[in-house]
Amino acid sequence: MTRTAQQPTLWTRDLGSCLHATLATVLLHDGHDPVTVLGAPWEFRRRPGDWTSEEYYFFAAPDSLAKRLALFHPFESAWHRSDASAPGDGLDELRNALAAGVLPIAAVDNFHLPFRPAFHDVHAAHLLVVCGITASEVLVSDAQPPGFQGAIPIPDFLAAWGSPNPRDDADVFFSASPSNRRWLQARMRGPVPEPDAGWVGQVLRDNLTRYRQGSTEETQTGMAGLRRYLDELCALTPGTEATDEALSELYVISWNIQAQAGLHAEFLRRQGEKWRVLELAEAAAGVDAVAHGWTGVRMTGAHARVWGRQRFDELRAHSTELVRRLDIALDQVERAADALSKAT
Amino acid sequence: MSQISSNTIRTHTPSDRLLDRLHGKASAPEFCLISIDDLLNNRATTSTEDLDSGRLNAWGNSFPAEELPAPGARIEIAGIPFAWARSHAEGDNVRCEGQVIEIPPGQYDWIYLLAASERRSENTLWAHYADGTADPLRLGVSDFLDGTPAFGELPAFSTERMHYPHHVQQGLPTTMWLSRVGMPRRGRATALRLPRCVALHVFALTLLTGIDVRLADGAAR
Repeated sequence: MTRTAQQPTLWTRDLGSCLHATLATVLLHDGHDPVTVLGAPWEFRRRPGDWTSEEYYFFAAPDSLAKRLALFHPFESAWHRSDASAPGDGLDELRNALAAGVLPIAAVDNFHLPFRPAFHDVHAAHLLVVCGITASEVLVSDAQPPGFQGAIPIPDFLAAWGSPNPRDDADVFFSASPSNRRWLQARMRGPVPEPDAGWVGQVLRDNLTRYRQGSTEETQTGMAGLRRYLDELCALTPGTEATDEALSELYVISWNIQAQAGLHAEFLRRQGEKWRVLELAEAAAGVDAVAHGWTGVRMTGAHARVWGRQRFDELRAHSTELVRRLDIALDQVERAADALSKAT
Repeated sequence: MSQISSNTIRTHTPSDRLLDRLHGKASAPEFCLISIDDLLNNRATTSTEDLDSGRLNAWGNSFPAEELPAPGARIEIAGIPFAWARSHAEGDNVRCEGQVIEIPPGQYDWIYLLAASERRSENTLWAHYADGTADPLRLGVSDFLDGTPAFGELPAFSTERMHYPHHVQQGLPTTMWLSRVGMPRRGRATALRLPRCVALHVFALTLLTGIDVRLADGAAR
């Protein structure tokens, strides 16, 4: 059997998706703290038209997925695609990675996974961590609720890993995206920074700079980019195909943007406790409010897309509120960065 | 652009709304159990017979009705009495769309809610007063799926399973929260407006008046 030395730790957050959960599992396996690594960056980026119907979508270009999610660490990732005709049903690539101490993250379709609620019901793109492979089973780790860690038969894994994940009306957000036997390799590629007060302060100021600098036509970034994106969204005509597409995109791309905001708030709270700077806790509350503001935008859009509840007046109100909260949170983060530099 | 109209619903009078007033002694808080039956507009609980009626979230999930109180039941959560809504085929909770709830005019300190949210939500609940004042109050409700009390709430109900449109998922717990909102103003409140957030669901509502306010209002010791 090829497997890792230890059972991975299940790590998940209420606002998170399988993307943060699987990368966190890899980080923990390699001795890194996910909240420090994945919770330090906080940003808004979107390239119009650049999205896939996958729970783990995050706009990372030109960086790798891991690098963009861990901007302040040398965390890197690369997608691989295994050949089904290769020896060992293509599993040898995963075996080799495991033998080298790497936890591969596999792209799968929940429809074929016996422990997922969608089993034999709904097709949906998902990520899980592979921790071992025997002659007959694949040992997997999936922290997302209901949470599972154990062995599944190789045919089930291969069905999920090689699934065409066809379009499924029961999941308009995460179907229609083939798994294609893809797997993600993520590793820390260099020394990690010391999380001292100077580093934390620089992280906060870099995040502020990215949020406050202007946006471009090609890539919407920061506060200006968010405003522009939400304006475009709220101007759509309800009930059209283009609007359905845009609402699907909204739900997908904002999942991990919301997750990052929630994780950054947790990062700030921790730093506040560590350095005993109350402004950091207050900034955390502000960033959390932004994360919660995304709920209003996301769910109003999702209910329009799925249930036909076309309330674009509410979508606009939630969008305005989200931007207002972001504006406040940025000031709070700036105040926290100032307080941290004075206190340490 | 086609839009659903956002008419304010005002079918109940304040006296209709008051299901019960639990006075107790002046040394104890007073509870007003408020009816929301006329506002029920969403199905968030299902039985195994009608799983696909659930609309708690965009995925059609729902709470298992058999693990929750019966319609109209009087219950107590962490010392707070509630009247569970008299659910029907069209609704068992209020999906928050800015509905107005006229309440018996009075001084209240806390709004207690049994609530659930599709992901964490944080929105404004308005308290309206007899003198024309309106206070925006913050209502935070945690995710029904995760079980993490992001706003420091207490779990009111934790179920062992979750309903999907086509099956019952064992081992996937759900949480309904005991949420509360403070009403710091010393004034006669007359109405509440629920948040405008489709992610947020309210199942029961009770108003609490604290001991100090009761005594200040002339209650006998």
